[in-house]
Amino acid sequence: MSTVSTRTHNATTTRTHTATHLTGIVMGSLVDILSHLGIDASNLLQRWETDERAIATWIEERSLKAVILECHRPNGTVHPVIEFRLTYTRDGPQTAEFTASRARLARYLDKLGSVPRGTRYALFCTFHRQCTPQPGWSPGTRQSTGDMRSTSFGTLGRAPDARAGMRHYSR
Amino acid sequence: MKRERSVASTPTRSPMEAWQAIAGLVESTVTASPHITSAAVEHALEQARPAALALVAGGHTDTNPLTVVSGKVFCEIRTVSGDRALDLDENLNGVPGAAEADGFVLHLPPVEPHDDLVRKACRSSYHLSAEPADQATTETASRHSAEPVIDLSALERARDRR
Repeated sequence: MSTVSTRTHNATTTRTHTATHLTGIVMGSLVDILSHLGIDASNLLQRWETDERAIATWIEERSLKAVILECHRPNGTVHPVIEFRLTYTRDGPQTAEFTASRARLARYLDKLGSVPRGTRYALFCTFHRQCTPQPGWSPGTRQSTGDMRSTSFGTLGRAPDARAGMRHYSR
Repeated sequence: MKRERSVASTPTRSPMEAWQAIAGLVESTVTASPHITSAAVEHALEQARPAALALVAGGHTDTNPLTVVSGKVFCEIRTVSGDRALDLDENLNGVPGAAEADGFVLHLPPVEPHDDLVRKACRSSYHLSAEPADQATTETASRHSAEPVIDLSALERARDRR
């Protein structure tokens, strides 16, 4: 009985750590990208705690499919679109690692083109299943990426039971 | 004397929680001085928050520390992310040495891509700086603060010449 309780506690602790770790990686990457592009990130930084809590909750309950950053240009077009996809695995071994590929993001930023002055951002989340409602987030419609060129930049961060990858869409 | 402190970030703490731990460490360090009010520190930290949060969340402070300079205190504060954060032995008590300080400066590293964000934050408070913290200046200031203001030997020479 005590062994089962210990395993349950460890699984819960790891899922919380996973949510914290991957939320940090996704949001840290978001603000890095916005700063690199010269897009005003003050709203994201101001409501950081709200978004951090929401994304971490959705990752922990395994409902979050992707966090999507859309760049809305003054001429009405939307690109690039950057998608952070979450992939969940079975609870990993206790020896599995928490890693972040900061160098990979830095290489991506080096290749990321510029956007016109006045470009603004929009943030969306998509889900595998019903998610727990979170304050500050409401239903919305994301930009279709069907006619956009897509490039995968691989895994940005790993945890014992999930990972976050990044995909770039452009015209 | 340069001191270093490490604060656990993800997966132990979220970026916001890590920044709050750093802010608490800075506040407890500099408010050891009766000349520095909590209100002044809180205002400076609030101005620093957006830039500091961006630096912490991006993992930039793992290798580019924030530096607090106050009185005899010269302390570099780094974050630790990943597996090492899980077992980190932290010391978040105030750094000793600021008891006689009459001011403080928190230096934020202006690293890409947040250099503009950092410089903008630093323009909003005299207690924030995007310039590299100079330990030599701190040590010189600490030594000078122990020296008498009046040069007694010069007074004696002037007296003897009369």
